[in-house]
Amino acid sequence: MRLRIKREDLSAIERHSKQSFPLECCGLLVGRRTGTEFEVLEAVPAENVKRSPTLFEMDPQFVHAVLSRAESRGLTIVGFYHSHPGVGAYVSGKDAEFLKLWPGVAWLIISATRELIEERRAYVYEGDEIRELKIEVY
Amino acid sequence: MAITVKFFASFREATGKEQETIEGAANVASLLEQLTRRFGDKLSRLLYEPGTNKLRDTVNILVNGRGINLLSGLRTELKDGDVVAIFPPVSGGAALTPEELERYNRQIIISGFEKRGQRKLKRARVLVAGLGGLGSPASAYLVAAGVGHLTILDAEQVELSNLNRQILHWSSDVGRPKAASAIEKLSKMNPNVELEGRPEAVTRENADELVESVDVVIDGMDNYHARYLLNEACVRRQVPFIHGAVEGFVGQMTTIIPGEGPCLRCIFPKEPPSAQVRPVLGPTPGVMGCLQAMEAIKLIVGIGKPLVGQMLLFDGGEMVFDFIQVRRDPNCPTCGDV
Ligand SMILES: [Zn+2]
Ligand SMILES: [Zn+2]
Repeated sequence: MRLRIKREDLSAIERHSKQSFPLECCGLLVGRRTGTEFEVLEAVPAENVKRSPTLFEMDPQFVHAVLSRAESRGLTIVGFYHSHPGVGAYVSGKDAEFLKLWPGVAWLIISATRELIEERRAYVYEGDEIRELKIEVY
Repeated sequence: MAITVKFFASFREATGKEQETIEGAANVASLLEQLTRRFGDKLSRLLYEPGTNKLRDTVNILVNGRGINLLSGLRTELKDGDVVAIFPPVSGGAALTPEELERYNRQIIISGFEKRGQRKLKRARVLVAGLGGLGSPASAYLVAAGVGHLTILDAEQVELSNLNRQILHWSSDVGRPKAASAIEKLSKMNPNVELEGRPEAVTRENADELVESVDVVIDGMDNYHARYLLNEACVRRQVPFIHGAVEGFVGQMTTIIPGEGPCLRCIFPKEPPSAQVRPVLGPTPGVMGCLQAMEAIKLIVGIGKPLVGQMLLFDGGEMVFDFIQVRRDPNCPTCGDV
């Protein structure tokens, strides 16, 4: 399974992650899923309403607006992204709770400090387990 | 009147539908009632707290793009043509803050400890039973290391004759409960740690409850009656118990992991004799309490080798550390059948 993302979209996400340090940032990945491939066509930054270094949450109305707009274009939300300020791009206990509520949706996690991207990984909850996705930048 | 309901994520999975049309629902509560009648338990488990009509906080319900929390909640009225969307929140969080990464940097850079070890510490709950000569340094080092939750238990008040060794208590604390005195210092040492003070003794009644929700128990008690009670509770609940005791210049310590090595009763079938007032030089419990904290941190992080099946004997007078084998007693009344 893999997450395909354009270099410019990934760069925008990584910039967002660095600029938000020491807080977590978040956003949505609009695109389409075909079989085992999650194709990102657009990265949409969202506000982290928690404004916290260890928590993020998106405004549900914003999520809904992005979702509706995507579906009206025949696309969907293939994923979400959020940053971990310098602690590694792993699925935290809290992340896992919400991953499980979004089966089949990719979660891209960026570990970033103000200066540097330490790690990027992607996961999906599918078939009752969290699996790692290969990230393919094009 | 027809209302369109759109399901996303786990709600789409539970209903097997992208959307559904509902007739004659005057408000959100009655709409949900109709939906749960149609889609059954799978949906109601996602929507409601078990056994209640209270919505879970993992549910977002939007009417025409507006959250019902900003409208009238479950009483939000519905009319023909409304579109209701139901989906989970998008939320999560990392375990460590940049402040914590910097505070704990010198242990995080230990090979094998790392951020993963720090996250384990942050999730861990430890009970320090007794806030005297052993409990003072043990709790101080656990708090400094960033254990997530520390319960500290002591029923007594600070006495002047405690101060030569019980370093969490200072001159101005004489007469105060030890738990309160300790919390004051520990919370300033590291405000990230959740501290719970329990000004009570270990009894047959509270022993199980004390140990059941923690990952490790540190023995900072000054009597074998309480130690045996804690030992029994730890064996029953399968919680590691780090024993320590001191007198004069000498101290002893061992780590009890129920099922893996001997318990305290295997090692001391009968209460060792002890004077009413025991002599103690402060650094003796200082050394032993630090070693107990070391054992607790190792167990939580999963690093190093715990002192199981061996008793450390420390003699500060001769400056000797000695180890003796201690064995499980198959007929031990406490752990014989574990
Ligand atoms: Zn996260
Ligand atoms: Zn035993």
